Amino acid sequence: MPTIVMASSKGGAGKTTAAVTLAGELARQGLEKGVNIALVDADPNKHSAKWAKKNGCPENLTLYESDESSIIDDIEKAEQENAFVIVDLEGTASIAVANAVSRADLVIILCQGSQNDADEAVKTIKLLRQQGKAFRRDIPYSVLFTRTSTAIVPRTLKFIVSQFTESGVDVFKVSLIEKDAYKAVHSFGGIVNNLDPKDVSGIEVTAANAKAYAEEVKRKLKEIMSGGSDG
Amino acid sequence: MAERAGLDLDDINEDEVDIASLTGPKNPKPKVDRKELNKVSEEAGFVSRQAPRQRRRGGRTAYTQQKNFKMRPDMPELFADVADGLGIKDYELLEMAIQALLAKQKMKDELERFKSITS
Repeated sequence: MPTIVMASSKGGAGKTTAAVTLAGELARQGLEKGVNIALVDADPNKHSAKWAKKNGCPENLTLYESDESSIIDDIEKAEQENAFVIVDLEGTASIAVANAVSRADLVIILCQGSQNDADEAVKTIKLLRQQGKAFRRDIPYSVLFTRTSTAIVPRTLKFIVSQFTESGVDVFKVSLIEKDAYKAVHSFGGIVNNLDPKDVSGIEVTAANAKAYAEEVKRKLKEIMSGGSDG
Repeated sequence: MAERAGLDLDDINEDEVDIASLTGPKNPKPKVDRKELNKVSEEAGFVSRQAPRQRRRGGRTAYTQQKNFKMRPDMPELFADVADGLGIKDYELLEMAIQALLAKQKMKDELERFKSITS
């Protein structure tokens, strides 16, 4: 029962998009196999929760609304009742984030291709390393770049990726591309695959990106569960 | 010079991981002491963002019972003016008046009860 936590102490880095996309894609893949997915929303803004309450939310996905004081208990409850737990958090350096990552099997650190995002990502990485030392459990993590372009890779992004990889930080091969379809699911509800092409363009490309992202998450989880770990 | 044919590896996908294979039981994560967790988190700059609970103003009061009764016109204002003049609350004025009356009327039993209630 893996728990995957989306973390970034910078607002707007793409945590909700990453959480909703992963939850939706895992739910889509797991529907016919009886695999249940939990989405825990501990962000006071509750954007993930609003999405999950709209029509089209996968029937094997359960929402848990949470906050700083109950996040650990809510994650543990969700773990008992579901096969996968995905946690969305507020974009600040908060106790809620620290509590959530302490229960994670994988922390996905969201980062846009900017120095500010990278600096905040480093804050989260340092927290994970300190927790790892204090509680003798290395918490696997990986940096996922968001809002990237399919056409070009800016130099700043290339530089930041190289800085992370040279420092031994694991970075996703896939990035979440900037596509309107990712925003559209918050208007229409449901998952990217079920959007209507009359309403949104680029559905196929976005669905393929969502699938590739979920596949890489699953590979990382498989490696973690077999004894190797990223981060 | 003819170009060598390249290796066409672009369309080879890595094997997909069966989602069901990741759902088996696993080693439980060790519990962590929450106070220790908070301490480590705060040292890393991750602090509580919840608004502190509103504190009750003033201490707990012994005056918890409510009694409503009628007064003559203008009496409420006189009552308030007397309390203000003595620098005390309305309910303290009432108690002073009751104590004075009990002593004047030599109602000893009631005066004892008054003292045990207000001590």
